[in-house]
Amino acid sequence: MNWFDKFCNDFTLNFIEGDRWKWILEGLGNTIIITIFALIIGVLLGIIIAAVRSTYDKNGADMKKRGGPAYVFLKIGNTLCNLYLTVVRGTPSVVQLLIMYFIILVNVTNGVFVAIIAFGLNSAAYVAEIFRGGIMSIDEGQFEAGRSLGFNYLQTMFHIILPQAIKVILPSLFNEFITLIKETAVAGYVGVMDLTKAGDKIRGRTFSAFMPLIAVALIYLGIVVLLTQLLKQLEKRLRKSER
Amino acid sequence: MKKKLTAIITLLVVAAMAIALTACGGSKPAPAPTPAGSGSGSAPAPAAGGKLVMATNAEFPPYEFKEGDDFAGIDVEIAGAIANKLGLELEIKDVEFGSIIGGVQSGKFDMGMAGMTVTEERLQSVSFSTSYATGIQSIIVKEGSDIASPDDLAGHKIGVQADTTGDIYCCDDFGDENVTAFKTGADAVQALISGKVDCVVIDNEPAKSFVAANKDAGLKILDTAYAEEQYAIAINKDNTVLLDQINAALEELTADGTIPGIIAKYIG
Amino acid sequence: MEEALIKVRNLKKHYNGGKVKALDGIDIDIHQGEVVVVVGPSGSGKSTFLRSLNLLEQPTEGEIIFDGEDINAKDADINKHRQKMGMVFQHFNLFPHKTVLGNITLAPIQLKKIPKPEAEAQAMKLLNMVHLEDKATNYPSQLSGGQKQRIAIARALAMEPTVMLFDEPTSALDPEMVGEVLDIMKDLAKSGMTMVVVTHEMGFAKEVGTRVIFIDHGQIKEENTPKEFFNNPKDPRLQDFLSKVLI
Repeated sequence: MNWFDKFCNDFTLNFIEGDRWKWILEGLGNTIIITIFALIIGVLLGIIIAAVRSTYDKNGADMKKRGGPAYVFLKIGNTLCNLYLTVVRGTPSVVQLLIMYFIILVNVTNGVFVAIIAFGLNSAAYVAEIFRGGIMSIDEGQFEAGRSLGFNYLQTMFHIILPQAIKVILPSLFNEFITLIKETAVAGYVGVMDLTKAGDKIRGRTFSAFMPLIAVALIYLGIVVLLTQLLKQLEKRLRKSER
Repeated sequence: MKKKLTAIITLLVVAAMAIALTACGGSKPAPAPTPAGSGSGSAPAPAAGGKLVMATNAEFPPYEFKEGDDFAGIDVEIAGAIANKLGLELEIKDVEFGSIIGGVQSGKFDMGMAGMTVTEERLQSVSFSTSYATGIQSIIVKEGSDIASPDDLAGHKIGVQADTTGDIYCCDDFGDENVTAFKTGADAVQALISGKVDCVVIDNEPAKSFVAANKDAGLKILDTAYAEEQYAIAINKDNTVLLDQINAALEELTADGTIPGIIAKYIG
Repeated sequence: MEEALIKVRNLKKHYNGGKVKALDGIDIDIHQGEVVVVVGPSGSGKSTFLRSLNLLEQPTEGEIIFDGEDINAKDADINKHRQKMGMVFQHFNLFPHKTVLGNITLAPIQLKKIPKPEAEAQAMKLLNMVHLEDKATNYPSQLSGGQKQRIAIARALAMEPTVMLFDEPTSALDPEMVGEVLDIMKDLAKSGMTMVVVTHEMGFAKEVGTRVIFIDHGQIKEENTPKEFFNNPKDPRLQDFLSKVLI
């Protein structure tokens, strides 16, 4: 049972001594806080961006005909949204995080807050495309049927398009949540102790790679497996409601 | 089906970890009881005429750094002098700082020399030679800071480079919640300049470079250092022969003025 | 003669800055109770014409006067006018997330603010008319193509439109289901509904149409009573077209 003793010694050294397991717990807490709040920001902002872009695609011609400032605002908004999507999706999230920490929010001392903002803004770009993709996946005929009955653009969206699109959107949104959890592993770059950083911190003290890295990996994996199971349940239920 | 299997395996592993936690947590055994001189033979002393493999992380001037393709620095020159004394050929491996102890432990390297401080944790994994140099952990603050000496650090936000001795000491002394660890020393100094932390604790030599590089930011190094630390050579626990040889060599090289000469050459 | 229900004047639809002319100056009056059947080769612009009548296709220029108002004018409330113009699509376009009853009552409840029980009672009458009252609680995916199209007609009728637009309503159907849809359309025509029908069903045009229109290259090339239209075509393109569709 020599290997077992060694395993126990390693385990004690890495997690029990100096209450190092508390770092893991704190890191896990920060990872979850950053992910959830970033996703909330991402969804709210993402919906706005998707609304602007979808409205421009689907209703822009109508608004152009009626003229007025609304169309001008929509066009400018659409251009800005496109620029935003290009920049956010064209740069690594860790670079965005560093820019947010050292340049934009230079006077904010709370690293977790900065990480929430940075990942939230990052996630918004992807959420926006998830929503837009969901809306665009609905057959144009549905839109025309709604309009032909006399529904205006927004009524058609809410009564006809979105109830169908949500079945496409929800699983992708859940996937974005899962991706985001793993993305936040770079929060350590701005001095935030997330789950990955907690493992690094233990490694920096105990110089054993195996225990902290495997423990951190297992925790991420556990969360992701759990969420994936939930996602499958969700998809099953959505399919059922289709009949 | 395959996914389900993966899920089951994952759960099993997590369960095993949990059981281990209970088993290990119950008795809390003394750390790593490796009897001295047990002679498992995993790392025999290098034979005369052979190689002395040294692991370092050549990004820590003036102790070790690269000059073109060659290694230079205090540690590099001292190692050269030791190898000379033992009649061995010095071979330098440039690796991650965090991998040095592990490599020495596993016998991959004969010794680790990288401005490395002796700590309790490290002593559980490797043996250390007698100290050959002293490192200083300095405190950088902004001009006009209310931190005037290490005694004032309590209650302030401290920036450090992750996993350095500065990080470890500050966490122990002032609590994890007051210490913000950055990937690089430069990031920590940037955070100091923008007011995210109140001071930075870091090795004295890089501290000097950072303060010089950010002249406009009004930074200064406090006259009183935060800590002094003893740099020593890490050697495999089982290799008591090499430990004795190196300790003897260090003693001779200090006595004949070689080591003080090397240090004086790099640190004015 | 009374005022026309729909007056179309100089209707044009251009693409690529005028290089492609889908509609090239259409003028037509459609009167109350008429069944106007529109025929023409594919790509002739006949569907574009129909879809322009309720502005699903935005015309490049021209007037569409409906209920005495130019609905193509900038300040016209097109959503209000569309409530009076029912439309039936080639691909049915039923709402898959709603039951048959939900499909029919959605617009009356949401747009006309008719109480749900009342809207459902009216929907049941319409289902009776299309002979599908037993499908009220089914979802569209459980219906055959012919049944779907009959529901789509009932859905459009639920808004009590003054005119019904049919965009190739039988083109996507299996042959054995064409009859059941045409029967409903015949009933509708007999009840006095004003209808504009784009179709390839020449039998329907002959039997039910009050007027048949031939569109080619975005223009009306010929319009006449069905009898004259089929027996005595004058435009050479129409003669060619009829020789191909009527064997």
